[in-house]
Amino acid sequence: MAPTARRAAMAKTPTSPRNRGERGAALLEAAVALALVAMIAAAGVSAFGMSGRRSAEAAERLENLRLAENAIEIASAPAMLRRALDKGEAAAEGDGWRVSIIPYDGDDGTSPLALALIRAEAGRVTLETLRSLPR
Amino acid sequence: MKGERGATLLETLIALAITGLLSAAVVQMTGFGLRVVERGEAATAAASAAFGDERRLRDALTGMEGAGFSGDAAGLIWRGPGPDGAGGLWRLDQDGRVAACPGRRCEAAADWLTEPVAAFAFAEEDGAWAKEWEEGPPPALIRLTLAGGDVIVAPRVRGAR
Repeated sequence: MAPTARRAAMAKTPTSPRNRGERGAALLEAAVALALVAMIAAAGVSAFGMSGRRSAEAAERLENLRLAENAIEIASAPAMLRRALDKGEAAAEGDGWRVSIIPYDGDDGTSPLALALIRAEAGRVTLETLRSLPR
Repeated sequence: MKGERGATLLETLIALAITGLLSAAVVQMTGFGLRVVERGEAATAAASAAFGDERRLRDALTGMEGAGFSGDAAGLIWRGPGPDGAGGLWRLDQDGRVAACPGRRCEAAADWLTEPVAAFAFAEEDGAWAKEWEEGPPPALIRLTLAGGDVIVAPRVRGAR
C-alpha cells in the first residue's frame, strides 16, 4: 500500500461507522452486565432480609403463644371460671394479652360439670379451649 | 495501533477495578446476610428451647396431685408426673434441675430445663402473688420467671379440668 493510502486508511479508522458501533455495543454490554449484577445483589439482599424477617416473626409468634397460654392458665383458676359461670362472662388482660371466659353454648345443664369457653389473644395468636368445673 | 493497545490495557484495568469493587461488595453483602441468618437461627433455637421448657413445665405442673406441694424462692416440690411422666415427689430448683424426692429426701438433681428459673411465685384464688407456699394443697397459680419470660401454670387439681 502506498504511504498516502495507508495514512488515509489510518486516519479513517477511529471515526469509521463500524468502530462507533463496536464502542456503543461495549457500553451497552457493560450496562447490561451492571444491571445483572444489580439484580443479583437485590435478590441476595431480599433473600437475606426475608430470612431475617421470618426468624423474627417465628420468635414473635412463640412469644405470643407463651402469653396466650399463660392467659389460658390464668383463666383456668377456679375462681375466675366460677365468676364467668355465675355472671355470664369474665375477662382479664395484661401486657400484650387478653382473655375472656363465657359459659359454653353446648352445655345443656344436665351434666355435673359446667363448661366454660376460654378465648385468649396475644398478638396474632388466638387460643380457645373448654374447661369444666363442678356445678 | 498504539492508541488501540493503550485503550485495551486501560479498559482491562478499569474492568479489573470494577470487578474488584463488585467482588468486595458481594463478599460484604454475603457476610452481612450470613450474619443475619445466623442471628435468626440462634434466636429461633433459643425460642424453641424456651418453648420446650415451657411445655415440660406445663405438662408436669398442671397434672400434679392435690397434696404435698410446697415452694419458696429456691424452688418447688410437687407430687405428680415428673420429667419422664412417671409419678412421684419431685423438686425443681433455681438451676432448672429436677430431683426425685422419695419421702421428701431429694436424690441427686439432673438437668431438666435449658435455662435457670429466676424466680418462683405462688397465688391463691385472690390473685395476690406470694414468694413462699407452705406444704399442702397447691396454689391456684404458679409463676416461674425464665429468661424468655414468665410461665404461669394453674394446677388442674384445684377443680377446673
